[in-house]
Amino acid sequence: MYFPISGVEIPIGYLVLIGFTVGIFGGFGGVGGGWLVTPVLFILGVPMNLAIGTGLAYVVGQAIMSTFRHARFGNVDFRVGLIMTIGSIGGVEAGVRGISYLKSIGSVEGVVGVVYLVFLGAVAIFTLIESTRARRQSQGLKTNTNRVGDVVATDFSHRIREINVPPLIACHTSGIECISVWAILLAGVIPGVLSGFLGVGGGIIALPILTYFLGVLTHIAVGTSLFQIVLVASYATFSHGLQQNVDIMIALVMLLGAAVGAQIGAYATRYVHGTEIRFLFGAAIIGAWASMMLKMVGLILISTVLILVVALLLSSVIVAFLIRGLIESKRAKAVRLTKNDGIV
Amino acid sequence: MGTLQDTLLQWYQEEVLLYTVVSLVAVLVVGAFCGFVADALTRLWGIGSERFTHRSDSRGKD
Repeated sequence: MYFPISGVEIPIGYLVLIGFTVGIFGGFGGVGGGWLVTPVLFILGVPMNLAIGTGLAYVVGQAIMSTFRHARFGNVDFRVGLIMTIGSIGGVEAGVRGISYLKSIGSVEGVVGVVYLVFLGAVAIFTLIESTRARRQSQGLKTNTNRVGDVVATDFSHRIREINVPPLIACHTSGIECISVWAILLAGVIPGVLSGFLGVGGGIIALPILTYFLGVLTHIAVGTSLFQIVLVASYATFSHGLQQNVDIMIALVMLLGAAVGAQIGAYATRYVHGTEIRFLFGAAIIGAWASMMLKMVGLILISTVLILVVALLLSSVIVAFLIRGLIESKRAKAVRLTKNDGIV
Repeated sequence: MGTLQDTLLQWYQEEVLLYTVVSLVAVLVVGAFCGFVADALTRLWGIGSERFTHRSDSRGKD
């Protein structure tokens, strides 16, 4: 199908499949998936500035689908999400203006490509370190973090909570008794800049910030991050739309696949260990990083094949986890019923 | 599809604000609609009403 706004021809099935695959990641990891969609669209021939804006439009739709589910579970702290969004809007504006400036001097693709490589590399390294730390914790070794309930409360998050600059508020849903509003605002600025400049929804960075910077309970961080992504990515999409950086038809076609994928991903999280989630997350980021690198050195075909193989492989693993979990839970239920019969 | 594409292309080139608003509303409506339908269906079938209880660690509640 020909998309006149982007001036590219992409088969519909291809876009639906990408939406479906990225949707699985989105529902699984509590992120929008813009970090995967934008490079894929770029690789498919969509100009970088349009790939960024279109990726954001897709993220809005996918994040709102996932937020519905998490809100139903009571996993969204609307107070934290709204305050973070105010901080993010300033960051988004700076990011969008940066893109427009680069477009005017004609070096948008090179600069954003390099920033992408650095950003994805940094997140991949962070994920690997964090996963190793979590594994050590589970093995009972001493680290500098303390496990409190279902959150890994770092020394850093304790220090953030000790900042007593008024106004101070309580966020009961997140398990925070007292925190400065300024700390939450600051936590929103960084995802905002990334959202506007790189076309990512911000979830990939908002999630670690919520858990490690603010010390929010992990399952609440997932839902709150998605809620914040809806607001921030909507604002960023609007800004990019005014700069003529959005191809709405591509975004809508991809959302058809995401409608199913996001549900599968969300359910899979209930049957997967946290370290497995982070490992798969890290593998996906490394795949996107390698693909972008290949694209920049001119190996376009290999980079396209690589990103699609990585995405399909990982989504297959997530689906396999879901099937395994469903079978195990069915077996456990059967055992419980047998035991109850024995007692009666 | 062709007519819709042509209309959008015309708005994109001449009515940028209208195109932007329509685009944003479209993704919000489609996303909310899909989320609502999925939620309604799972309620109807009784799936996903239970809390995270299986093999969960840092993101679970048990």
